[in-house]
Amino acid sequence: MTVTASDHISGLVLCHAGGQRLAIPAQEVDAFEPAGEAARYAGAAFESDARAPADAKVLRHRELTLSVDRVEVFATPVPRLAVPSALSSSWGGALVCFVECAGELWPVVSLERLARGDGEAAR
Amino acid sequence: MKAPLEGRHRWLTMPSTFAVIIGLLLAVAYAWVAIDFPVGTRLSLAVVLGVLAGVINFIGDGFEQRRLMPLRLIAEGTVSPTRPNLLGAARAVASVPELSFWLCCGFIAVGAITTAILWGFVAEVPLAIMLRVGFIGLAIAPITATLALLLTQRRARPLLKEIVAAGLPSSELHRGLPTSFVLRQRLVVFAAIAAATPLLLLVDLALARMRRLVDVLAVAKTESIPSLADQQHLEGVWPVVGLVALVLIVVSVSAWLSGSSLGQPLRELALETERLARGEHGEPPFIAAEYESLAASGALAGIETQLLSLLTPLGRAASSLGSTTHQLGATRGSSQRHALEAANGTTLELARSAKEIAASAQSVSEFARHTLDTAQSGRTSAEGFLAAMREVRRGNQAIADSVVRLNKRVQQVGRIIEFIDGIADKSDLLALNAELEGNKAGEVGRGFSLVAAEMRRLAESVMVSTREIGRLIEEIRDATNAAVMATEAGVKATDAGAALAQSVGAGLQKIVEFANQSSDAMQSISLATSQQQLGTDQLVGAMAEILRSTEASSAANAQMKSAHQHLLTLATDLKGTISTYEVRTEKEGAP
Repeated sequence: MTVTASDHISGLVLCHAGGQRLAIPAQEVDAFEPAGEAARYAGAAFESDARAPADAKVLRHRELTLSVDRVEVFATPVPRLAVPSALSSSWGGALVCFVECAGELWPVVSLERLARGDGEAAR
Repeated sequence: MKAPLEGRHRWLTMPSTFAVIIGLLLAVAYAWVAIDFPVGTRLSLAVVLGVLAGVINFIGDGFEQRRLMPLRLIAEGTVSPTRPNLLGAARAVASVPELSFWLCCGFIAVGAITTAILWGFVAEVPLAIMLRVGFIGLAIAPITATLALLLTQRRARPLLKEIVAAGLPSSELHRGLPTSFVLRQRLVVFAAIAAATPLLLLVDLALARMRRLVDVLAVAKTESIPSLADQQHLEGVWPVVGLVALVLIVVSVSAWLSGSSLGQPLRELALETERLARGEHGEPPFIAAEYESLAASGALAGIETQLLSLLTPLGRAASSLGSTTHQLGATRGSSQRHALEAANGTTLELARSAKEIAASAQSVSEFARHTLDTAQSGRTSAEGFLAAMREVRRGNQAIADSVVRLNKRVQQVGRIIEFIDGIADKSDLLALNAELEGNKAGEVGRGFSLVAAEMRRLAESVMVSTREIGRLIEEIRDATNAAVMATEAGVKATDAGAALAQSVGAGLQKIVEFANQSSDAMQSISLATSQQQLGTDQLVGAMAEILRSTEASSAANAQMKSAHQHLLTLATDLKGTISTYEVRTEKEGAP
């Protein structure tokens, strides 16, 4: 993640999962992979019984994989919007900030923090 | 409506109770006159006698009703009145009179002895008087039993006829009832009872009176003996006269019943025999009787049945012989010449008919030829139609093969499209990774990222196109499947049409053959008819010759006529003889 002096953020992967929006810093995505059963489906965070479609895309960050419906790479720098304290523990503390892209508000989630939270939970 | 045989089991056993009452009255009356009862003992005797008589009669009636159980079951509808059941009831009814005799005899004797013993215990009477009471019972029992038998017999006979009316054939009843030839013994017994009963009672009464007189004279003074004797005579004469009269009435009634019991069936047998002699036959009626009379009745019924079975076919044979003889005479009387003349006329008519047939045969031959031409034309058309159907079938088969090939090609295209779709999918993923890497590189990789994004859009466009092509291929596959099925149905339809055309062709071929044969046959008929016409002319001449020969044989016919007349006379005599036996049906013969 690249943070400018004016608290701007550039290089985001915009994901759609289960009808919801989700932004991930492009620096944290190692690669995109074809759909696989082992990957966790991001839509399940919003609706527990949601299942990944057949043409889902998988984002890999080291050992962590996350499956989403559709992705696009957004290169334009956008201002970081602070996370309200009430939502600071959302996504296991992985919610970094909010950004506004193409007129819509996107939550930015850190795969690094998400992977670390999973590891701590596993320990 | 009262059911048949209802209540008859009670009705049949009433006379035995009546006979017991009569015997009891007779015994009481005799005891009253003949026995000098000690003072105060008469009431106790009456009580003991009444109670015992009631008990004994109840037990005896129970025995009789048990014997009549088959009749009672039919009357109450518990069992159906089938022939075996009715025969069982008839046997029970026929055996009841004898049963009543022995029950009355035994129970009255035992009852008298029991009465004497009980009375002796109750009233402390002398042994001599107890013995006399028992003696009276023993003396009265046989005549009472005889009365019971004769009265019950008078009711059993009509009851047997009712059973016959209920559906048991009289012949079967005759066969089913046991026959015993004991009439002589029974008459001897009845005569002995009828003679011995009054004799015993009168002797006992005389002895009793003599004892009483001796007792009186033994204590009387000499000068008063004549007057005492007169007094005893006057005191005892009227009760004795009354008692003797009562005994004689009972014995006379028994004798009258016995005589009528024997005479009634003999009279019916005589009437039936007379009817038989007059030639009136039908289903033999049942004549109720006992002993030898029953056997005679059964034998007469058997004779009548046998005669009926002989006379019926004999009468039919006589009638048949008479009518046949009449017909023979009438036939013989008609002139053979007339028959021959009629045959001659028929032959002439035949000759005319033969000419007409020849003309008709010629016309039919023309029709057959025309039919042959039409059938041949139809056969040619059917062959053309069959060839066309085969051509259509080949065309349909070619279409079906083409469609199958097209289907295979479409499936191959589908596989290629799937392959392209897979490539586009992988390209999309590669472009996405390239765009990501370009983005990670920052400003340096911006151009690379833009190219990668463009490539990704192209890949997605290819995927959209391949999906559209896949959908179109699916539609083509459905359409080609439908086409395959339609062409297969077309092939089957043309096969059926070809088979039908082949069948029509074969039928027309047969029609052609038949028409050919018909034409040949018509020509043969025409030729034969011409020959027949010639033969008929010759037949007319022959008939005229036969007619002349027939006239010559009239003398021989006269002799045959005489023989037939004699046979006719014989048949008429036989029919007259048979007609003297009037065979009646059961319905006609019923009174």
